[in-house]
Amino acid sequence: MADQARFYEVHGLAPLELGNALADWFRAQEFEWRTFGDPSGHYTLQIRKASTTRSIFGLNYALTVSFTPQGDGKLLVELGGADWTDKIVSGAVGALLITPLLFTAAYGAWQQSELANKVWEFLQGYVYQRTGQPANFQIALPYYVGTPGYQPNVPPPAGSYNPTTNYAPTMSTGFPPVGSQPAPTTPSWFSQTTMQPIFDQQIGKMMSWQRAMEDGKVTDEEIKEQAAQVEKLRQSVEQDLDTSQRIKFAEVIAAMENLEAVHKS
Amino acid sequence: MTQETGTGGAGSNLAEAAEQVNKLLRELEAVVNPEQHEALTEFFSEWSVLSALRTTREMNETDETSSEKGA
Repeated sequence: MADQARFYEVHGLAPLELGNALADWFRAQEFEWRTFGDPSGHYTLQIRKASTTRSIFGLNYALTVSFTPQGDGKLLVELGGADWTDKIVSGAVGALLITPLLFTAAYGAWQQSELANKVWEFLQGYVYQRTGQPANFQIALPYYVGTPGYQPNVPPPAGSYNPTTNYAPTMSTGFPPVGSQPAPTTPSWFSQTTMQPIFDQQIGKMMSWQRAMEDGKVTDEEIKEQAAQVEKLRQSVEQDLDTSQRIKFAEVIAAMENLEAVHKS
Repeated sequence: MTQETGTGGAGSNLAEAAEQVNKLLRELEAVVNPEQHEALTEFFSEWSVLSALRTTREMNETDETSSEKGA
Protein backbone atom coordinates (compact mmCIF):
# COMPACT_ATOMS: atom_id res chain seq x y z
CA MET A 1 0.00 0.00 0.00
CA ALA A 2 1.34 3.39 -0.89
CA ASP A 3 0.91 5.45 2.26
CA GLN A 4 0.94 9.19 1.80
CA ALA A 5 3.09 10.04 4.81
CA ARG A 6 5.19 8.34 7.47
CA PHE A 7 7.08 9.32 10.60
CA TYR A 8 10.48 7.63 10.25
CA GLU A 9 13.17 6.89 12.77
CA VAL A 10 16.24 7.93 10.76
CA HIS A 11 18.80 7.73 13.58
CA GLY A 12 20.25 11.18 13.04
CA LEU A 13 20.42 11.21 9.25
CA ALA A 14 19.70 14.66 7.83
CA PRO A 15 16.86 15.31 5.37
CA LEU A 16 19.44 16.73 2.97
CA GLU A 17 21.40 13.46 2.90
CA LEU A 18 18.30 11.34 2.47
CA GLY A 19 16.93 13.62 -0.22
CA ASN A 20 20.19 13.66 -2.16
CA ALA A 21 20.58 9.90 -1.88
CA LEU A 22 17.04 9.43 -3.14
CA ALA A 23 17.68 11.88 -5.99
CA ASP A 24 20.85 9.97 -6.97
CA TRP A 25 18.97 6.72 -6.92
CA PHE A 26 16.25 8.02 -9.21
CA ARG A 27 18.78 9.74 -11.45
CA ALA A 28 20.45 6.35 -11.98
CA GLN A 29 17.09 5.14 -13.26
CA GLU A 30 16.86 8.05 -15.69
CA PHE A 31 14.35 10.09 -13.75
CA GLU A 32 14.52 13.85 -13.81
CA TRP A 33 14.71 15.46 -10.40
CA ARG A 34 15.01 18.77 -8.61
CA THR A 35 15.35 19.67 -4.95
CA PHE A 36 14.52 22.53 -2.69
CA GLY A 37 15.43 23.19 0.95
CA ASP A 38 15.00 25.89 3.55
CA PRO A 39 16.87 26.87 6.73
CA SER A 40 14.36 25.11 8.98
CA GLY A 41 15.52 21.76 7.60
CA HIS A 42 12.45 21.20 5.44
CA TYR A 43 13.59 19.57 2.23
CA THR A 44 11.65 18.74 -0.91
CA LEU A 45 12.52 16.52 -3.83
CA GLN A 46 10.55 16.25 -7.04
CA ILE A 47 11.06 13.42 -9.47
CA ARG A 48 9.49 12.53 -12.76
CA LYS A 49 9.89 10.31 -15.75
CA ALA A 50 8.55 12.20 -18.67
CA SER A 51 8.35 12.22 -22.40
CA THR A 52 6.35 14.35 -24.75
CA THR A 53 3.90 11.54 -25.44
CA ARG A 54 3.54 10.65 -21.78
CA SER A 55 3.05 14.28 -20.93
CA ILE A 56 0.23 14.68 -23.41
CA PHE A 57 -1.53 11.58 -22.16
CA GLY A 58 -1.02 12.34 -18.49
CA LEU A 59 1.18 9.30 -17.92
CA ASN A 60 4.21 11.04 -16.49
CA TYR A 61 5.50 9.43 -13.33
CA ALA A 62 5.73 12.47 -11.10
CA LEU A 63 6.11 12.57 -7.37
CA THR A 64 6.98 15.07 -4.68
CA VAL A 65 8.79 13.80 -1.58
CA SER A 66 8.87 16.22 1.32
CA PHE A 67 11.07 15.75 4.41
CA THR A 68 10.24 17.65 7.62
CA PRO A 69 12.28 17.10 10.82
CA GLN A 70 10.14 16.52 13.91
CA GLY A 71 10.80 17.62 17.47
CA ASP A 72 11.20 14.03 18.69
CA GLY A 73 14.03 13.30 16.23
CA LYS A 74 11.82 11.49 13.75
CA LEU A 75 11.43 12.62 10.18
CA LEU A 76 8.06 13.22 8.55
CA VAL A 77 8.19 12.03 4.95
CA GLU A 78 5.23 13.08 2.77
CA LEU A 79 4.49 11.90 -0.74
CA GLY A 80 2.33 13.85 -3.12
CA GLY A 81 1.65 14.52 -6.74
CA ALA A 82 4.11 16.74 -8.54
CA ASP A 83 2.60 19.73 -10.28
CA TRP A 84 5.49 19.88 -12.69
CA THR A 85 5.58 22.90 -14.92
CA ASP A 86 4.88 20.70 -17.95
CA LYS A 87 1.54 19.72 -16.46
CA ILE A 88 0.49 23.32 -16.47
CA VAL A 89 1.54 23.53 -20.08
CA SER A 90 -0.39 20.39 -21.02
CA GLY A 91 -3.47 21.84 -19.35
CA ALA A 92 -3.31 24.68 -21.80
CA VAL A 93 -2.99 22.48 -24.88
CA GLY A 94 -6.70 22.43 -25.57
CA ALA A 95 -9.92 20.58 -25.04
CA LEU A 96 -9.07 17.77 -27.44
CA LEU A 97 -6.09 16.73 -25.37
CA ILE A 98 -7.72 17.21 -22.01
CA THR A 99 -10.10 14.32 -22.42
CA PRO A 100 -7.36 11.69 -22.92
CA LEU A 101 -5.84 13.07 -19.72
CA LEU A 102 -8.99 12.06 -17.91
CA PHE A 103 -9.03 8.69 -19.59
CA THR A 104 -5.50 7.79 -18.55
CA ALA A 105 -5.61 9.32 -15.11
CA ALA A 106 -6.45 6.04 -13.43
CA TYR A 107 -3.55 4.18 -14.99
CA GLY A 108 -1.23 7.08 -14.20
CA ALA A 109 -2.42 7.05 -10.60
CA TRP A 110 -1.63 3.37 -10.33
CA GLN A 111 1.88 3.94 -11.69
CA GLN A 112 2.33 6.76 -9.21
CA SER A 113 1.33 4.41 -6.42
CA GLU A 114 4.09 2.03 -7.54
CA LEU A 115 6.54 4.92 -7.52
CA ALA A 116 5.60 5.73 -3.93
CA ASN A 117 6.31 2.17 -2.88
CA LYS A 118 9.78 2.45 -4.40
CA VAL A 119 10.48 5.54 -2.32
CA TRP A 120 9.53 3.79 0.91
CA GLU A 121 11.66 0.76 0.05
CA PHE A 122 14.65 2.92 -0.79
CA LEU A 123 14.46 4.99 2.39
CA GLN A 124 14.25 1.94 4.61
CA GLY A 125 17.15 0.28 2.84
CA TYR A 126 19.29 3.40 2.89
CA VAL A 127 18.76 4.18 6.57
CA TYR A 128 19.61 0.59 7.50
CA GLN A 129 22.75 0.61 5.32
CA ARG A 130 23.98 3.91 6.75
CA THR A 131 23.17 3.39 10.41
CA GLY A 132 22.89 -0.37 10.87
CA GLN A 133 19.53 0.23 12.50
CA PRO A 134 16.08 -0.38 11.05
CA ALA A 135 14.09 2.60 9.83
CA ASN A 136 11.03 1.96 11.94
CA PHE A 137 8.07 4.04 10.91
CA GLN A 138 4.56 4.99 11.84
CA ILE A 139 1.96 5.89 9.22
CA ALA A 140 1.17 9.60 9.55
CA LEU A 141 -2.47 10.59 9.27
CA PRO A 142 -3.29 13.87 7.54
CA TYR A 143 -4.98 16.51 9.70
CA TYR A 144 -6.71 19.23 7.75
CA VAL A 145 -10.04 20.92 7.06
CA GLY A 146 -12.51 18.11 6.54
CA THR A 147 -10.81 15.65 8.90
CA PRO A 148 -13.29 14.53 11.60
CA GLY A 149 -12.52 16.46 14.77
CA TYR A 150 -10.42 19.07 12.96
CA GLN A 151 -10.08 22.40 14.70
CA PRO A 152 -8.28 25.33 13.13
CA ASN A 153 -5.20 26.64 14.91
CA VAL A 154 -4.91 23.46 16.97
CA PRO A 155 -1.74 21.37 16.51
CA PRO A 156 -2.34 17.95 14.96
CA PRO A 157 -2.79 15.12 17.47
CA ALA A 158 -0.09 12.46 17.95
CA GLY A 159 0.46 10.45 14.80
CA SER A 160 -1.04 13.18 12.61
CA TYR A 161 0.44 15.99 10.56
CA ASN A 162 -0.57 19.10 8.65
CA PRO A 163 -0.08 18.16 5.01
CA THR A 164 2.18 20.27 2.88
CA THR A 165 -0.62 20.92 0.45
CA ASN A 166 0.84 23.20 -2.17
CA TYR A 167 3.51 21.62 -4.32
CA ALA A 168 2.89 23.91 -7.26
CA PRO A 169 6.13 25.44 -8.53
CA THR A 170 6.40 29.18 -8.14
CA MET A 171 6.57 31.11 -11.36
CA SER A 172 9.79 32.86 -10.39
CA THR A 173 11.91 29.82 -9.47
CA GLY A 174 10.12 26.83 -10.92
CA PHE A 175 10.44 25.20 -7.51
CA PRO A 176 7.85 24.53 -4.83
CA PRO A 177 7.13 27.18 -2.21
CA VAL A 178 8.55 26.84 1.28
CA GLY A 179 6.65 25.27 4.15
CA SER A 180 3.06 24.37 4.71
CA GLN A 181 0.20 26.45 3.52
CA PRO A 182 -3.24 26.32 5.10
CA ALA A 183 -5.91 24.66 3.01
CA PRO A 184 -8.70 26.96 1.87
CA THR A 185 -11.98 26.36 3.67
CA THR A 186 -13.86 25.50 0.50
CA PRO A 187 -11.38 24.55 -2.21
CA SER A 188 -12.83 24.81 -5.67
CA TRP A 189 -13.65 21.76 -7.73
CA PHE A 190 -11.43 23.17 -10.44
CA SER A 191 -7.66 23.44 -10.53
CA GLN A 192 -6.46 27.01 -10.80
CA THR A 193 -3.64 25.93 -13.10
CA THR A 194 -5.34 23.52 -15.49
CA MET A 195 -8.93 24.80 -15.06
CA GLN A 196 -9.98 21.15 -15.01
CA PRO A 197 -11.83 19.27 -12.23
CA ILE A 198 -9.54 18.29 -9.38
CA PHE A 199 -11.14 14.95 -8.60
CA ASP A 200 -9.11 12.83 -11.04
CA GLN A 201 -5.88 14.42 -9.84
CA GLN A 202 -6.62 13.43 -6.25
CA ILE A 203 -7.50 9.80 -6.81
CA GLY A 204 -4.09 8.59 -5.62
CA LYS A 205 -4.70 10.22 -2.23
CA MET A 206 -8.09 8.63 -1.65
CA MET A 207 -8.19 5.90 0.97
CA SER A 208 -10.73 3.92 -1.06
CA TRP A 209 -8.32 3.91 -4.02
CA GLN A 210 -5.31 2.98 -1.90
CA ARG A 211 -7.21 0.11 -0.27
CA ALA A 212 -8.36 -1.28 -3.60
CA MET A 213 -4.89 -0.95 -5.17
CA GLU A 214 -3.07 -2.50 -2.22
CA ASP A 215 -2.35 -5.67 -4.22
CA GLY A 216 -2.02 -3.85 -7.54
CA LYS A 217 -5.19 -5.45 -8.93
CA VAL A 218 -8.81 -4.43 -9.05
CA THR A 219 -11.45 -7.09 -8.45
CA ASP A 220 -15.14 -7.09 -9.31
CA GLU A 221 -15.87 -7.18 -5.60
CA GLU A 222 -13.86 -4.00 -5.01
CA ILE A 223 -15.70 -2.24 -7.82
CA LYS A 224 -19.02 -3.40 -6.38
CA GLU A 225 -18.10 -2.09 -2.91
CA GLN A 226 -17.04 1.26 -4.32
CA ALA A 227 -20.24 1.52 -6.37
CA ALA A 228 -22.25 0.88 -3.20
CA GLN A 229 -20.30 3.59 -1.39
CA VAL A 230 -20.95 6.06 -4.23
CA GLU A 231 -24.66 5.25 -4.21
CA LYS A 232 -24.83 5.73 -0.44
CA LEU A 233 -23.16 9.13 -0.77
CA ARG A 234 -25.45 10.11 -3.63
CA GLN A 235 -28.54 9.43 -1.52
CA SER A 236 -27.05 11.32 1.41
CA VAL A 237 -26.12 14.32 -0.74
CA GLU A 238 -29.54 14.50 -2.38
CA GLN A 239 -31.29 14.77 0.97
CA ASP A 240 -29.64 18.13 1.58
CA LEU A 241 -30.33 19.64 -1.84
CA ASP A 242 -33.38 21.64 -2.80
CA THR A 243 -35.33 20.82 -5.94
CA SER A 244 -33.39 23.03 -8.36
CA GLN A 245 -30.04 21.86 -6.94
CA ARG A 246 -31.18 18.25 -7.21
CA ILE A 247 -32.03 18.73 -10.87
CA LYS A 248 -28.61 20.25 -11.52
CA PHE A 249 -26.93 17.43 -9.61
CA ALA A 250 -28.79 14.87 -11.72
CA GLU A 251 -27.62 16.66 -14.87
CA VAL A 252 -24.01 16.46 -13.72
CA ILE A 253 -24.31 12.75 -13.02
CA ALA A 254 -25.89 12.14 -16.40
CA ALA A 255 -23.09 14.09 -18.09
CA MET A 256 -20.43 12.12 -16.21
CA GLU A 257 -22.09 8.83 -17.17
CA ASN A 258 -22.16 10.01 -20.76
CA LEU A 259 -18.46 10.89 -20.60
CA GLU A 260 -17.64 7.40 -19.34
CA ALA A 261 -19.76 5.88 -22.10
CA VAL A 262 -17.98 7.95 -24.76
CA HIS A 263 -14.62 6.83 -23.38
CA LYS A 264 -15.59 3.21 -23.76
CA SER A 265 -17.11 3.56 -27.23
CA MET B 1 -28.46 11.35 -37.64
CA THR B 2 -24.87 11.94 -38.57
CA GLN B 3 -22.00 9.71 -37.59
CA GLU B 4 -18.49 11.07 -37.15
CA THR B 5 -15.60 8.91 -38.24
CA GLY B 6 -11.86 8.91 -37.64
CA THR B 7 -9.91 9.94 -34.58
CA GLY B 8 -10.87 13.57 -34.99
CA GLY B 9 -14.57 12.75 -34.63
CA ALA B 10 -14.03 10.51 -31.63
CA GLY B 11 -11.79 13.07 -29.98
CA SER B 12 -14.34 15.76 -30.66
CA ASN B 13 -17.07 13.71 -28.96
CA LEU B 14 -14.85 13.13 -25.95
CA ALA B 15 -13.93 16.78 -25.70
CA GLU B 16 -17.56 17.81 -25.95
CA ALA B 17 -18.61 15.31 -23.29
CA ALA B 18 -15.83 16.48 -20.97
CA GLU B 19 -16.69 20.11 -21.57
CA GLN B 20 -20.33 19.43 -20.76
CA VAL B 21 -19.32 17.85 -17.43
CA ASN B 22 -17.15 20.86 -16.62
CA LYS B 23 -19.91 23.32 -17.52
CA LEU B 24 -22.52 21.58 -15.37
CA LEU B 25 -20.08 21.14 -12.50
CA ARG B 26 -19.36 24.87 -12.50
CA GLU B 27 -23.07 25.63 -12.51
CA LEU B 28 -23.69 23.30 -9.60
CA GLU B 29 -20.71 24.61 -7.65
CA ALA B 30 -22.11 28.13 -7.99
CA VAL B 31 -25.42 27.30 -6.30
CA VAL B 32 -24.46 25.17 -3.29
CA ASN B 33 -23.57 26.28 0.23
CA PRO B 34 -20.28 25.25 1.92
CA GLU B 35 -21.79 22.22 3.67
CA GLN B 36 -23.34 20.96 0.46
CA HIS B 37 -20.09 21.72 -1.34
CA GLU B 38 -18.15 19.54 1.08
CA ALA B 39 -20.60 16.64 0.78
CA LEU B 40 -20.58 16.90 -3.02
CA THR B 41 -16.80 17.02 -3.04
CA GLU B 42 -16.72 13.70 -1.24
CA PHE B 43 -19.27 12.26 -3.64
CA PHE B 44 -17.40 13.34 -6.78
CA SER B 45 -14.08 12.18 -5.34
CA GLU B 46 -15.48 8.72 -4.63
CA TRP B 47 -17.12 8.71 -8.04
CA SER B 48 -13.73 9.39 -9.62
CA VAL B 49 -12.25 6.50 -7.66
CA LEU B 50 -15.01 4.23 -8.95
CA SER B 51 -14.39 5.38 -12.49
CA ALA B 52 -10.64 4.88 -12.08
CA LEU B 53 -11.11 1.40 -10.64
CA ARG B 54 -13.26 0.42 -13.62
CA THR B 55 -10.69 1.78 -16.06
CA THR B 56 -7.82 0.07 -14.27
CA ARG B 57 -9.74 -3.21 -14.22
CA GLU B 58 -10.23 -2.98 -17.97
CA MET B 59 -6.57 -2.16 -18.51
CA ASN B 60 -5.50 -5.09 -16.33
CA GLU B 61 -7.74 -7.39 -18.34
CA THR B 62 -6.28 -6.06 -21.58
CA ASP B 63 -2.75 -6.58 -20.26
CA GLU B 64 -3.58 -10.12 -19.19
CA THR B 65 -5.11 -10.91 -22.57
CA SER B 66 -2.04 -9.54 -24.35
CA SER B 67 0.26 -11.59 -22.13
CA GLU B 68 -1.70 -14.74 -22.84
CA LYS B 69 -1.53 -14.12 -26.58
CA GLY B 70 2.19 -13.45 -26.35
CA ALA B 71 2.87 -16.63 -24.39
